This record gives sequence, C-alpha cells and structure tokens, in this order.
Amino acid sequence: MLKPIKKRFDIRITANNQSLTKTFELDKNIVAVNGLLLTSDKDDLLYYRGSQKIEINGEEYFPDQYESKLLMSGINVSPKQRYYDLGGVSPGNGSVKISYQDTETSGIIFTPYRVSLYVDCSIESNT
Amino acid sequence: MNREVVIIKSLLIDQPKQVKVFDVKIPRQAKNIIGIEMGMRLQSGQMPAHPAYNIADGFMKFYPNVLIGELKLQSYDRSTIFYAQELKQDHNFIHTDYSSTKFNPQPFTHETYAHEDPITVDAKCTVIQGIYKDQFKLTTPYKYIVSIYIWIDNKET
Repeated sequence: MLKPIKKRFDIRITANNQSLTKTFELDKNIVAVNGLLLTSDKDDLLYYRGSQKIEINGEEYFPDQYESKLLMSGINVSPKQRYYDLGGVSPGNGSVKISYQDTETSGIIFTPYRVSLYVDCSIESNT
Repeated sequence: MNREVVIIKSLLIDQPKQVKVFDVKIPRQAKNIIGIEMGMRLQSGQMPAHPAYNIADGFMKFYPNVLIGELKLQSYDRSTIFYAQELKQDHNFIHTDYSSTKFNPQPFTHETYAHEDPITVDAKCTVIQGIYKDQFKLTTPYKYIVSIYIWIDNKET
C-alpha cells in the first residue's frame, strides 16, 4: 500500500545576492515524488527575490531563474492542493538538488531568511 | 527524459514604452508548446502600492489593476500569433479574505494558483518570435526584468 509522506528540506540565505546549491537525500523507501512546494520564514523575500533550479535524481524539473513565487501557495489554496503536481516521478537515487539564487529587487530590503522545500512523496507501507 | 520542460526567456526593460522583439529556440525533441507563464522583477523604481483592505469600502469595491506590459508570441508555422497576454499587477487580491481587517492581505500570503496559461501549439517550427511592449505608467525612472516561461511537451523517447 502506498502512504503519503511529506519531507522538508531547509536552506538558509544569509547574504544579499547569495547563490546556494544543496543536495538532499530522500529516504530509501520512497517510491514516488508527487509534488513540490516552497515556503519561507519571510515569505515576501522568497516571493520577490527568489529563483531556483530543482533537480530530482539528476533530472532537471525547474531550470535556473525559475521564480520561487511560481512554486509558492497562499493561504487561499486548500492544504491538500498546495503542492506543485509532478505526477509521481520516480525518485531514482533519491537526490533532490536545489540551486537557489537570491536577487536584489527594488523595494524589498534583504534580511537573512530560510527557504524550505517541501516534497510530497509516497512510501511503500505494509501497515 | 522529462516529458514536460520549461524554457525561460528573460528581457530587460529599462526605458518607458520600450518594445523588445525576440526569438525563442524550441528544442527539436519538443512535440507541443503546452503553456505560457509570465513574471517580472523590478530592479529599480517603486511598484505602485497595493490598496489596503478597508471595511468601509463595502462588499465589493474593485480597483484597477496596473498594466505593466503586453506580450505576443507567434509561430512561423500556420498557427501565427498564438498567445497575447497582459502583464499586470493585481490590485484586487484583497477581496480574497473578507475577514482581513487587521491582517492586510499581500500577494505572497493570499496568492492562489500560479498555473500557466494552457495552450496547445505544434512545436514543429523550432523558433517562435515574441514581442513585448512596455506599458508601465510610472512617473519615476524604472528598470525591470520580464521572464517568459514556455512549457513544452517532449516527444516520447
């Protein structure tokens, strides 16, 4: 039986115009990646300043300069529908790589912030 | 190989009423163009402030959205102009939460879906042409980057 599970991976942006690449590992019992969501502790900075590339198992799903706001969901979206639907892709070796770029934008002053990548997965479960 | 991929075209707009004509190369393995999205990032200048939610405005008071620019895309194939859209700053998202008298809604808190505009255009023609016209009516100097996201559906391999 497949059971839904959510994973969260955090990166910390500490400098103006910082670019940061980090690779995370999914659990070995994950059989499908269903969706992605980006949030932050400072939503306005992520919305106006962020862009990223996201790869799963070495395959690029979102290229460089893909704006973070396109992967965010406001509180008006029901919780079950907030994730960007990837359609259940295979996790392969389980690596999730995010290359995040902070870009200076007029009117939004930089302060350090956290970017959280949520990954909606399915695991094989016997219970 | 991914079946759906996105191609990003970024344009710098640094003069009022600027018109940019550009080409986008579509990869040979593309089968169809399936969606278009747009975004913008202001580099200098100040965006017009969003109207604050005011309970005295009554049940529905609509505010004019701010027009930033117009985009048209055309294929050299038979479909010719297949996409025309305005890039706007939404000033009516405040109606998304009628209870917000203290917590003023912002685009990054009350954003609804950011789905692309679905289209279906044959990608046999490997180049599409676009034209972007700036229509931003700011009185102060400004500069911004428009990002155009072209979603394509690859052929099965």
